Amino acid sequence: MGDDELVEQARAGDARAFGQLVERHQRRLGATMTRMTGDPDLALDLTQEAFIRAWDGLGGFEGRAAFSTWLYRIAVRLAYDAMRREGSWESHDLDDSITDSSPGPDAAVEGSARAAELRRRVADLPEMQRAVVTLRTYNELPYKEIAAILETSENSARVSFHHAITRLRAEYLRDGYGMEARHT
Amino acid sequence: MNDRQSHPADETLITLLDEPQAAAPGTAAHVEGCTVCRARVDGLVRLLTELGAEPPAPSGEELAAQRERIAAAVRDRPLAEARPLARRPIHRLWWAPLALAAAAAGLLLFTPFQSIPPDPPGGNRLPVVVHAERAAEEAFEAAVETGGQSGTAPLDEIAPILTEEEFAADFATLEADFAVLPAADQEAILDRLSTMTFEL
Repeated sequence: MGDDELVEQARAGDARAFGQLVERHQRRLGATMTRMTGDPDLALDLTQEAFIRAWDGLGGFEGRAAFSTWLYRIAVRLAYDAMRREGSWESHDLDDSITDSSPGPDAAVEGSARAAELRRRVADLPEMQRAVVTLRTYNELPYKEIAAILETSENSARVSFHHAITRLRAEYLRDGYGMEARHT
Repeated sequence: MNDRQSHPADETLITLLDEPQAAAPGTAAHVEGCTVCRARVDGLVRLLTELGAEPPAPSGEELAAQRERIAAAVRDRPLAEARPLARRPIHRLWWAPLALAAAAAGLLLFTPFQSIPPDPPGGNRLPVVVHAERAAEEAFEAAVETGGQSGTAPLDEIAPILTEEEFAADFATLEADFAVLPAADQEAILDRLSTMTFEL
């Protein structure tokens, strides 16, 4: 059954249909929030809150956008609020829980350090750029959908992405991570 | 190449990776033949790959517990009265194959959905249009199965975006344009239509 049918049933008060929507989008939305905030615990909270807000707002959901677009819009707003509340964002140490499939311990350490540094850099980006980078590189969404989620124009999303990548690349290079071949 | 000025800007290389169809002409060819730019592109690819990597995920138990918490919260919260669902608007899509599909789908919308007429005996419609209608019907069915809108929205909900007359005019234009395409192009378009899904 597609999202739209589940949404229709949920709007009629069917909590089980809503539960199916939760199950369908929970993991991906949670990972997106982790990517955006750098904090898996916060991401879990934000994801949960986003679904509860979605339930609260289902009556007003008009179906002009896909349910997932609307859900992500709610979640991104919550993430923005959380980031603003906490001021300058600190990237949390995710490395303990990362499983690195690279061949040896040195490569794992190096990859882990590089990933941590990259997360720190991403966390320093303005919130819009952080959201666009996440939705584009992790979720692989088209700019049209990113724009709908972030309530901006496609061009603005595109420009934000380019600014973010240009900045990250410069910092990546400065950190000495840009030119070496991976896992060699 | 040793003149930095002659290398594409970072912006151009990002576009090449991000939206290759929008990259400046010649960029890919330049990168192919330029060791400096290939290295730059490799660096960007690594960066984008790391940015898109899967973050650590909660365990199945954590996810199940989260679902429980959400379900419990939902149980305690009455739903607000639902406003009527609007159908997603049909946008003007001038990319020919998609527009043709949309126009054909439009015919399905404005005629009873289940009653696509058989090929008219000695009919005056182009066979390709009949095919397009069938392809669109299949695409619609796929859209329904995969969660797209059902395509049964009444005309009055769609009218503010694209009137029936506009649809008919668009379709007539597309039909004429399509008819003069080389057979191979027509076939390619029909193949594409037959695998396309719709979201209205």
